[in-house]
Amino acid sequence: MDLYPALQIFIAESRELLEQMEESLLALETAPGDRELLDAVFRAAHTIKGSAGVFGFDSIVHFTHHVETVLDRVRGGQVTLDAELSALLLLCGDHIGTLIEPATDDSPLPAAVLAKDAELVAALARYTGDAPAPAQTQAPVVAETTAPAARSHWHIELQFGPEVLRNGMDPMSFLRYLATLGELTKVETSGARLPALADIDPEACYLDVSVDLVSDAERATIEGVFDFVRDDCAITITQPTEDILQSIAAFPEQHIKLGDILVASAALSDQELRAGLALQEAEREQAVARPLGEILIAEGSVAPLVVDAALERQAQIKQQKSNDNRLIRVDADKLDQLITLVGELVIAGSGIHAMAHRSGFSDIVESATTLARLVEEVRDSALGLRMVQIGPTFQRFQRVVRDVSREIGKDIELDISGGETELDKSVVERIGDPLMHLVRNAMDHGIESAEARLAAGKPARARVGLNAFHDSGSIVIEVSDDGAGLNADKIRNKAIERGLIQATATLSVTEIHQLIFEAGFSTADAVSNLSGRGVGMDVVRRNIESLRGTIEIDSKPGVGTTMRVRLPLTLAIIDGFLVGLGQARYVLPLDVVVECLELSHEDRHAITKQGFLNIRGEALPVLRLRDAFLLGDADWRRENIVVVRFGNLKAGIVVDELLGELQTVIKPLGKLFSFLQGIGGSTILGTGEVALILDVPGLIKHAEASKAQALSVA
Amino acid sequence: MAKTIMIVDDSASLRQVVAIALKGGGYDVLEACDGKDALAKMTGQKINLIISDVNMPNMDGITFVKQVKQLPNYKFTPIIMLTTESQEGKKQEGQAAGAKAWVVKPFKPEQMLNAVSKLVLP
Amino acid sequence: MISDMLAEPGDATRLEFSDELTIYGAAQLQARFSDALSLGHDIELDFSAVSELDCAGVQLLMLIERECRALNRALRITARSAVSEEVFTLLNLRQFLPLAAAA
Repeated sequence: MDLYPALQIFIAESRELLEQMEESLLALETAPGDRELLDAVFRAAHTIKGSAGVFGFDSIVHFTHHVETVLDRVRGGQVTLDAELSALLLLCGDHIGTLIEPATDDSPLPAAVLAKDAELVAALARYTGDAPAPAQTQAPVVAETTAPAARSHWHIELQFGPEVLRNGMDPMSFLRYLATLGELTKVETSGARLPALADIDPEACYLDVSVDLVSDAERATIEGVFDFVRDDCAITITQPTEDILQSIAAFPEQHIKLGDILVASAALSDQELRAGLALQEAEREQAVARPLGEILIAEGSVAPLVVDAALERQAQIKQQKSNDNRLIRVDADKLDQLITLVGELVIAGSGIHAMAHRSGFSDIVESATTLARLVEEVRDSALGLRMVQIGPTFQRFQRVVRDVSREIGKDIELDISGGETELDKSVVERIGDPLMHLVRNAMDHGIESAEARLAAGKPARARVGLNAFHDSGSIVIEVSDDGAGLNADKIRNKAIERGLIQATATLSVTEIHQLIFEAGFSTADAVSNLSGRGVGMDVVRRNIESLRGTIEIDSKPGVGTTMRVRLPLTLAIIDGFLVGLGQARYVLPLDVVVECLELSHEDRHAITKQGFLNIRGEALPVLRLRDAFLLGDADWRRENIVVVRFGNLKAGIVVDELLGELQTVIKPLGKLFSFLQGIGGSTILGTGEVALILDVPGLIKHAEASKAQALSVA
Repeated sequence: MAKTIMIVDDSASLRQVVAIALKGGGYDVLEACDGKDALAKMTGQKINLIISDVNMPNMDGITFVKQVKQLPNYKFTPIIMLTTESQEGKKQEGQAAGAKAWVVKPFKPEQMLNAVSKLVLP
Repeated sequence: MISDMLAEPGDATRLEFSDELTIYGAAQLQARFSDALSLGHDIELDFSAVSELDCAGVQLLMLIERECRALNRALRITARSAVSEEVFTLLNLRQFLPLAAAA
C-alpha cells in the first residue's frame, strides 16, 4: 500500500497543527482557562498522535501521548496551566516538530533529540504523577505472527438480536466476511423465531443462522468477525475436538474449575461459559441444577468428548490436590535452620570421629562410627526434605512451548523425560528462568522454519526436549532441539566482529560454541519478541554459574543442539576430600575425585618440563596447587596427585598430603573474597580449623589453559 | 456497483490513509473533516458505511452519530467509531448513540479495511 | 420501490419489486405482503429488478412463504436478479423459495 501522498499531507498537517497549538497556548496566557483554546491545544496533540500512529511513527506517538495526558489533566482541572507548564508545552510542540522529519524519512533519531525527548517526558511526568515510562515503543501495531493453523472445521451458531439490523449490521455481511476466511460448507437460515406477518416489527431481526466453516483461521479471528454484534447476539463457536483435547491434557495444575479448563483450552468462549453458569444458577434456584458440563453439552457449546477430557484432567488435578493434603507445609526458614544445625552436627561428628581414631580406644571408635553413620542418615533425610522432583518445573513448559510455537509460527512438540529426578528446592526455584531462556532460544533460533526442515528431509513438526538425570553427584538438565545445529562459522565471524576473539585465533568447535555465552553475543538475524536481543545466553550462563553449575553445548550441524546444564544436587552440604598443602587444609568435593596417585620423581620432572602428565596413555593437564596459590616450594616432601573430573574434563591437581574423606558444610565466602579464583567456599573442620573448598571447574579450566599453552610451546 | 464509505476525521492525513486503504480494497470513498461537513456531503448520496472520529471541531463524533440516526435515508447505516484506548467512555457513548462498531487508534490501514469488510464487502 | 399488484387470470397475485428490498422499506413491504395475502390468491413474486436485498427483506420473504404454506396457497418466484440469487444462495434458501418453472 503506497501511503506516500498521505505522508506529505501528514507533514504539512502536523506543522499546521503545531502552529495552532502554539498560537492557542500563547493566547491562553492572556485568557487563562479559555475552554475553546484548551480544547484546540488538546485536539492538536490528539490529532497528531492519532495520525502518527496510523503511519506507525512510534517515536511521535510515544512522546505526544505524554503531552496529551498532561493536557487531558488540564482539561479535567487536576492540573493548572501556569506559566511554567505553558513554557514546557511550547517546548514540547517544538520537540514534536523535530520528531516529524526523522520519522517520515525513516532515519534514526539523533542522540540530542533522544536526550531532549527523555528530558521533556520526565518534566511532563511531574504533572501526571507517573514515573516516566521507559522509552519503549508503545506500538499497538506490532506485526502479528500467527501460526499456520491447520485447516479445520468450525461450527458457528448465531442468534441475532432484534437491534442488529437497526444498527446497520446485516447478518449476511458477516457470512460474506466468513466466506473470505475459508469455505462455508453449510449454511442454514432459520426463521423459527419470526412472529406472524401482522405482528412482526419489520426492522427487528429474528433470524438464526448456523454455519459450517472450513478455515485455517484461528479461533480469535473467527470470534473477531462478530465483535460488533457480540452484545446483541448469542454466538456459539465450536471447534474441532482434536486440538482442544491436546491443550486440555497439557493443562497447568492451578486450574481446577471445569469452565476455566475449557475456556483456557479455547474450547469455550467466556460468553458461553457465563451463559452456562447463569443457566446453572437459575436451575439451582429451582433445585434442579445439572452439572455445568451437561448444561454446556445441551446448549451445544462444547462436544461431549471435550467435556469428558476436561473432566478427566480435572479429576487428575483433584487427585494431585488430595495428595497435597498429605503434605505438611513448613516454613522454609525452619527448614533452613534445621539444615544449618545438621551441618554443625556433621562437623562436630567429623571431629569426634577423628579424635576417636587418634585415641586408639576401639569401643570409642565403634561408637563414633555408629554416630557417624546416624549423622549421615540424618543429613540425608534433612537434605531429602528439601528435594523436589523437577517434573512440575518441566510441565510448565508444555504451555510455554504450545503458546510460543503458535506465536512464532513453528510446529513444535515438547518431549519431557526424567521428570522424577530430584534436586534441591532452592536449585529448582532458581533454574526456571535459565531454562525458560534455553527453551525459547531453542525454539526461536534452534528450530528451522517448516520449509527448511522439509527441504532437509526432516519432519515438519520439530521437537524440543527437556531431560534430567543424576550423574556423578550432579544433576544434569538437557534442553535439546532437532534443529539446524549451531553454525560455527557464523558464530566465529560474529565473535570476530564483536571483538570477542582475534581473527587469527585457532579455536576448536567446542570453544567456538562456548562463545555464544559471551556477554553481548547474539547471532539472531531477526530480532524477535522472545530472544535475540543480545541479552540472554550470557545471563543464562551467569545464573547457572551462580548455582555452582556449568553449561556445555553439544551441537551437530543439521541434527540439532543439546544444551547440557550440570548442577550440584544441593547447595549446602557435600562429601569432601581433604588435602593438605603444608599446614593449610583444602577440601575437594568427593564427587569430582576420580583417583589419587603418588607422584614419582619422574612424574614431577615430566610435569615441570611439559605441564602435563601421561597417565595410562592419556595426556592429563596438571595443576600444581602450590604454584597456583603461590605458596612456594616444599621440595623435601613427597607430593600426591588427585585426578578430578568435571563433565567431560579431567585434570590432575598436585597437593602435598591426602587426608581422606569428610562431610562438610559449605559456608559461602564473604563478598570481600568473591573475586578469588579457584576457591568456592570455606568450611570449618572438626578441629576448629578453617579449610577452603576448591572450585574444581575453575581449577580445571586453569589447568586446561596451561596445558594448551604448554602444548603450543612444545 | 462499488460500495461507498464515508470517512469523517479532522486529520487530512488520516483520511488520506483510510481512503488509500479502502480504495485499494475496492470501495469508493467520500471524505469529510467534521460532523457538519459530513452531514452536508451526505445529502443526495448513497453511503453504505460511515467511519467517524470522536474528537472533532464544529461537530463532534457523538453528536454526528445522533444526527445520522435521525436521517430517514441513513438511520440504519453502519457506523464505525474511531476511538483511542483512553476513550473507553466515549466508546460507550458512541455505542449508545448507535455506532456499534469501532476501531481503536492508532490502527494499521489493513485493520481498517478488515473492520469495514466485516460490515460491508465491496 | 414501485408496487405493482395485478390480479392474473390464474388467480394469482403478482408482486414485482424494483430497486431495494431493505430495512428502509421493510415496513412498506410488510404492508404489501399483508395486502397481497388478504386478496386470497396464490402469490407470485418477481425479483428480476431487485438491486439490493438485506436480511430485513429476507425475513419478510421467509414469513410470506410460511404464511402461504399455512393458508395452503402457492408461492411462486418467477424471476430473480443476480443480487437476489446471491442472497438466496448465501443463506441457503433456494429450496424454500424455489424458482417456479417458466409458465
